[in-house]
Amino acid sequence: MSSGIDDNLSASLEDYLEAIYNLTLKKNIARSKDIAEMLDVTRSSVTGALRILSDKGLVNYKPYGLVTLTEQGLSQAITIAKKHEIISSFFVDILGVDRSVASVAACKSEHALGSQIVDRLLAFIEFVTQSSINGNDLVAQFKTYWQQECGQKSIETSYQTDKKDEIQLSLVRPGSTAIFKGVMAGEQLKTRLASLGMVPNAEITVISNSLRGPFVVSFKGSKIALGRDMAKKVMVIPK
Amino acid sequence: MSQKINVAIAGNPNSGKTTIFNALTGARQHVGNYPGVTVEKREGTCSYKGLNINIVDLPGTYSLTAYSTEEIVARDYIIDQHPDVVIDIIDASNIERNLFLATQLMEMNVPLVLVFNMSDIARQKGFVFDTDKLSVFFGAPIVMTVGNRSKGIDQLLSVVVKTALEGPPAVTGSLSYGDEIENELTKIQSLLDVESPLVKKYGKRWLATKLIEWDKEIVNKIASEPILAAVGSSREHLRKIFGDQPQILIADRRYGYISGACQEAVKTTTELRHDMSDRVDAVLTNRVLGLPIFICLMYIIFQLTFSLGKYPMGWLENLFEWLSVFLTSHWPGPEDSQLLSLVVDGVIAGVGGVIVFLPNILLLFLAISILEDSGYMSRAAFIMDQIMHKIGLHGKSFIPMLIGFGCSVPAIMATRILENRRSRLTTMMVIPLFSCGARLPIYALMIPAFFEPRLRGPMLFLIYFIGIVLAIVLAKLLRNTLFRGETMPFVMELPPYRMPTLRGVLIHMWHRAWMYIKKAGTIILGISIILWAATTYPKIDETSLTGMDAQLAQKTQVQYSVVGRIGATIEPAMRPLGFDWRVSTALVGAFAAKEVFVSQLGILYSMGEVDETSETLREHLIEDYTSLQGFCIMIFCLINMPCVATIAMTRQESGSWKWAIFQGASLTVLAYIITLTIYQVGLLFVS
Repeated sequence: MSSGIDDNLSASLEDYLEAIYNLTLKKNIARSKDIAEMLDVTRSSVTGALRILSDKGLVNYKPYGLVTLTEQGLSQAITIAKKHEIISSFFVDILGVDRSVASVAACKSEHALGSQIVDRLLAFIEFVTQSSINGNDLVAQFKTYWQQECGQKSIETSYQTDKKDEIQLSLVRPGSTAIFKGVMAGEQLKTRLASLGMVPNAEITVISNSLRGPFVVSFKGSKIALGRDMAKKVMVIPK
Repeated sequence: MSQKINVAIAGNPNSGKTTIFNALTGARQHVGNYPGVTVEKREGTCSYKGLNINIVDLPGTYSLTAYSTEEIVARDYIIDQHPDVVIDIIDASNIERNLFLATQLMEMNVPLVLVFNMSDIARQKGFVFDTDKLSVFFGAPIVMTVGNRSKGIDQLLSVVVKTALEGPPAVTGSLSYGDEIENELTKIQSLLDVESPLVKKYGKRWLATKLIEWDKEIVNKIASEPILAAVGSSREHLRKIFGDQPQILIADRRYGYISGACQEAVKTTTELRHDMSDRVDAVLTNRVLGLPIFICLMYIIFQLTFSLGKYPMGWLENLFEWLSVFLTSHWPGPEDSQLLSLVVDGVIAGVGGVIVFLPNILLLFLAISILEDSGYMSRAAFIMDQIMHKIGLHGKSFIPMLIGFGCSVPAIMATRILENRRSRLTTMMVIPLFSCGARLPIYALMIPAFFEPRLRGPMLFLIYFIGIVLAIVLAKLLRNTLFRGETMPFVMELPPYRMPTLRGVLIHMWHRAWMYIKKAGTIILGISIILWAATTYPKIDETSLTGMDAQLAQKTQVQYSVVGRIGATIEPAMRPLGFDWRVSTALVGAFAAKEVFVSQLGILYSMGEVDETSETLREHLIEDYTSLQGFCIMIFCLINMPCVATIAMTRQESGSWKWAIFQGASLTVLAYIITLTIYQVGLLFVS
């Protein structure tokens, strides 16, 4: 895991950071009113939390309610978001849990699991993925085991999280550019996107990113509309 | 000594491929289908300096993998038909992505000519091409064109002819995938010697590349276990080194090659950040405005289609009427000739009934062609995707549904734009629920008979609305049961907006209309004759008709015919719905075409020929039926099995009778259940 994670940041403060991050992505600005609404807490507790975060140098907090993340705050927020991604990837890609179930569980456990454990988890995902490349597909073996023992549904295609700064394309703001890293999707779709020019390290510019509905990006000189589901599966590194 | 040259045109969608094709061939073209698939095959001819040139416009593709039917069709055509020259149309204002297809054509070792189309826009954007250098890199001569103004077409023809006769220039640049991949390719190539027929057809290197890419079509053709095992281990080796799938690596290398070539041979003089398209898109695909603008546009199109179409439709109706009268009065044989009846009541009534919709269909297709050629259609699909996604369909599904309000036959044809077969079948199944133009006469007859003036408008709206709601419910149901599966993820290019050319739009429209006319002339003609026979035969004994007037005789004859008998047979089953033998028989006749319901009802009331404005028929209806029954008749006509032309089209487009029958049967069952419920529940309130 990258440096800069503050293990002392309590669970609820992490939630505040994450909420501010998500709000900034969606609306460009975060107001304490919106934060209170998103986390379902009173505005006075938001004010208290923002003061602590501001003391830690993570947010710029101005009295009339506009909140922005400092550079340090942004990097921590991204780390938290990534942590969520790693935990949920473990649940989904290794254990084969349903994505929706995994997402809820990841939300809860991202606070409980410190960076030590998350680092090991990431290493474990890499280890398992690596060994499947070497011909010893542990995920497939586990899948068979699970199916035989419990008769469960098969798990989705595996995805390797080996790059640390990747985020979902859907989180990139309109007007910003990001570097394409990979897609968590089936072979066919991967090939399709590659033939359109979405190859590793290609630059993708997000043209419009509204809250719902498709998503317009431009790369290799053409404008492409992607479904929101797709945008969530495309992993990029923001520039 | 005329020599024939076969040319295939490949290129990305929206690269102006069809414009070049039209500019080359003019009107000398025709549309067919590639065998076994419903991908349109456009062919045309032109002559140049005494040479006959045969041109095939391949489907537009971004690549030649096995991603879609279009890609497979394009690839197979090039491999199987060995065109003398392949022209690759490249949008010069977006060459990097467009050249991706060129790299693949290059590897197929076909005599290639690259066309940098829309070179005027590229110049405006500040691109300067060193075509000599580029032509060396891609091993093909390059011609600059402006397709919509037919610029550069003569030069293109001369280059094509030269390439066909002399062969392409020698390739000096070559696309290398880097040592690691090249090593694996060599390994696989060395194993390939044994399977000579495949190698002869595809070439060793191409075959090896496709195997490394794990192209399903090609992999399935390889029977040899050791080769597949070697490919498998090569793929794993590459995955281990690069941490990515080999096909992605190869695509990456191709793009690398292109970007290297462009760095050397393409200069950009100005940097245009926001072009016109971006500004237009900011409004047309705006989160708030996008949907209202779309709805307004659709409304305008429908208004225009029906208001402008009304006049030529009237002329056609008059023409067919005049033709019937003319034939009847000038018939050389006896007046009750069976042949005359066949021609007038069968052929003219049946085929004419479909042809009168032609003006509407032409106008609708004209509008759709303009929307498509201008680039708005993909935006519309983008806007609708959010809504369509909820019922498990792709954004593009709305196009056939929209056409369905005009006529189900072209609507089912239009489902071709859907890539995913399950979405396509679902859309096909629900299209008849979008109440078509032929059903309007039924409502126009029934509504004024049973409802007071202030309720008439809302009632018509209610009928259409019920249809839409049922279509949504049914689509959702089908997607969750029979056509289960993931919705195709939405990945669609939003091409730059362009001014459609008159010629392109007209050709586009005409091709579609021609298909519709052909349908009317073949299947619909055949079935009209069968249905005519079913209402005419068996003939009742002349003597039992004596003493009756002409109209009563006509009624007795219909009752005696196959249709009348079927009507009488199903009557007990239709009684719980509130339908008597007249309605039942008319419904059987309506299978030929929905509007026949009105005229059949007229015959059964012994009134001779009637239309939907007939007041006397309405009086009879009011006497015999309650408004509840009237409403039930309309609901049944709305949902009930579509007309025979629709069923035939579903058969053709789905490729199997199974789906055609399923469509007819399930809609009939649905209509029965819903009408039964409405009638029986309604009775409780009425009494």
